[in-house]
Amino acid sequence: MRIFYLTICYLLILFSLKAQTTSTDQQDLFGVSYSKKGKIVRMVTIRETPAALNGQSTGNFVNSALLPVYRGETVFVTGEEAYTSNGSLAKTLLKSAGVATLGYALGKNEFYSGKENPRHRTSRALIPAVSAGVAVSFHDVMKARGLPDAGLEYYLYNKEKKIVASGTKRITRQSRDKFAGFNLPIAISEDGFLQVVYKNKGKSHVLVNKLQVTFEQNNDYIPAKGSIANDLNLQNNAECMPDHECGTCDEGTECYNECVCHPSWCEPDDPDPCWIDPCICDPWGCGEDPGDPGDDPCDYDPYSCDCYSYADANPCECSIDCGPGPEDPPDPPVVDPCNQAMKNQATMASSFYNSRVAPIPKPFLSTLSTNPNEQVWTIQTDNTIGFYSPGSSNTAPLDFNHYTSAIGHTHPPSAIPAPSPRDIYTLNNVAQNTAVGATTDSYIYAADGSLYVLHVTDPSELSTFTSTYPKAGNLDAATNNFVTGTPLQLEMEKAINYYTSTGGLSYNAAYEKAFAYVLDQGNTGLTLMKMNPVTNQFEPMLVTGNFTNPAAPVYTQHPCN
Amino acid sequence: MKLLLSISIVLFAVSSCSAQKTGTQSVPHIPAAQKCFQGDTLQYVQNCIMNHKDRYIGKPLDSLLSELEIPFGSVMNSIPHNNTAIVDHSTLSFYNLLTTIGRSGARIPKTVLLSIIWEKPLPSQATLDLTRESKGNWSAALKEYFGKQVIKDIKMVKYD
Repeated sequence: MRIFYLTICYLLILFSLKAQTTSTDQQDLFGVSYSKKGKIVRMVTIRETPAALNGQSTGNFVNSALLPVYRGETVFVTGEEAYTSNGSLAKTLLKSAGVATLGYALGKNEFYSGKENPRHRTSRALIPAVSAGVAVSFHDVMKARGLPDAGLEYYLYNKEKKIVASGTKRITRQSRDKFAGFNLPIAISEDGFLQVVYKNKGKSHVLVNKLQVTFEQNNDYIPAKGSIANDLNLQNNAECMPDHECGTCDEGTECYNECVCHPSWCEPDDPDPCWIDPCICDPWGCGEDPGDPGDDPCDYDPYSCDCYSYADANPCECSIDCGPGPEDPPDPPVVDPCNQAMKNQATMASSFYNSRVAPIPKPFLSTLSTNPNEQVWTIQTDNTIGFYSPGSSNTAPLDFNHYTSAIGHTHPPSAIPAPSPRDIYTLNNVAQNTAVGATTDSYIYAADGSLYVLHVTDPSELSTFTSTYPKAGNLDAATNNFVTGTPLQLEMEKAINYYTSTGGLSYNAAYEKAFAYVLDQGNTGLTLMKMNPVTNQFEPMLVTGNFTNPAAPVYTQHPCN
Repeated sequence: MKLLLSISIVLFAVSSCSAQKTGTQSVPHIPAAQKCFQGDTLQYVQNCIMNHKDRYIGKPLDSLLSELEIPFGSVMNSIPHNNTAIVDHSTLSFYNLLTTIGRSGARIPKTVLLSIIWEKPLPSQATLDLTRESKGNWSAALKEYFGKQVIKDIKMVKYD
């Protein structure tokens, strides 16, 4: 029996040992297998996101993006790390002692039959108890034993992204919780790309305090400089790590971007204080000679991210003074959207409506606020309703002829009150097929009581617009919007979301402005006007500008005065 | 003795099972899309997302989000003109909202957006309210909300 029990203990120890050393093949980022000696790993805790490397920090490694490098350069990978203790060894010792004690207490009488030599009583109980304690703790002891070191791996690629060289550097661990510095010089043999991977091969957490790639052999943490600095800039969408500061701005060299400004540093009343393109370029630090009047200081393009000038100062308040910036660009010329011509058009539209359209009886409008269908009708040159259809919830057929002078339709409660893209094409169809200049207006009666008119100010422009953006391919018949993914739909979406997200407008109010904006941007030859119920006059809704610079917002002149 | 051995066996079984799980823990899965991004956002979207969009169609947006190497920065929601109760698609950008508007307004090349058409339209009021909380910029709340929505189709919008 004794031999049996000892055999069981031996097998169990062996099984535990085998489980401990089992590991799977691991492949690096390029599909290359490396040694099975890679042990069980733990999460790498990044104390501070390394400014020099990409944010890929999950798991047991941190890897950089592909960094452009050039033949003849020498780059240095430097950093600091520390290991932390987790008290596992102490817990292990306690556990094994507890098991051994328990085993001894249970077994000491079990072994004493009264016939053996009393001196053997203790050993006959103690030996199995200690064995059990050791076996129980063996697994944990293996885990808590000396920590393997971490390592740096680097891969050099040529311009065709074929690997041309690689290397590793073992990072020697010092005592627990003490930061150890490391420095790996890498000579660049040809133009191409460099990728650096930091791997934790230990079983405890590793704190990577600093990690960067620089031109200078310096273990002190300094912001990376030079072309690599720009190439390391990240698309991190304007969010700094919580305890990270704006990096140094070296006005004598090139762009910096240790972090993009944190929104909390910005003025509370800024519309969107940190809208800086995260592919950073400080407009005051770019280019060869910042402030050179002949140069565009922000023409640097690291990762297909264009630097472009800001008309106003950086709305984010970084604490670093980056020195004088380029001269502010001249203010765009003020365009008065309500010029006399537009005022005349509004007057004409109001006069036509009040004298010839409004007096015509329209009993079908009595149910306007609740009717779920879109009703349509035509207004003829003899001031009568020529055609009427009760329609459906989406569209309604329209029958017109040469004597049609205007058209009208309703927008049910389920629809947006303002005109739709479909209304552009409908009006164009009527305007192009009646006597030239005969049909100039499309009236939209909305369920919420709003009255709009799409007024044709330039028939030839309208025709050109519908030729440039034909109905087929640009109008979504199911939604009455522009087709998803088309430039016109994108213009609508960005304008609507600009007004809803930053302006606090309701969707319907934002849509109204956005539609007016698209009419202007698309050179449709149409003007959107809205009836003022107090003055009984149509007032143009005009939105100019193209959202190029949010610091100079677009504006709406409503009404024209 | 038998009791001691029984206890030992139980303890071994528990610790060995735990060791087995730990021993087979592999390096976290590296998403396939991670290797695609080489610094050019337009190429990344075209080659790594659009060319393989079948991977995501019919699945929650999380299936795409989990493989993105560059995170989204903002979202723009679109409501059908004839049905204000729903959002039928949302356009996602890698920049925050105002940067997106500025870049597209300035026709900066390689500004690329993704329009996600939802399998089941979203309630417009709730979607707009949530989006408005972060001023259209991508947030954890938006990620959680949109991540669960199923994709019907993906369209790429770009300026050449």
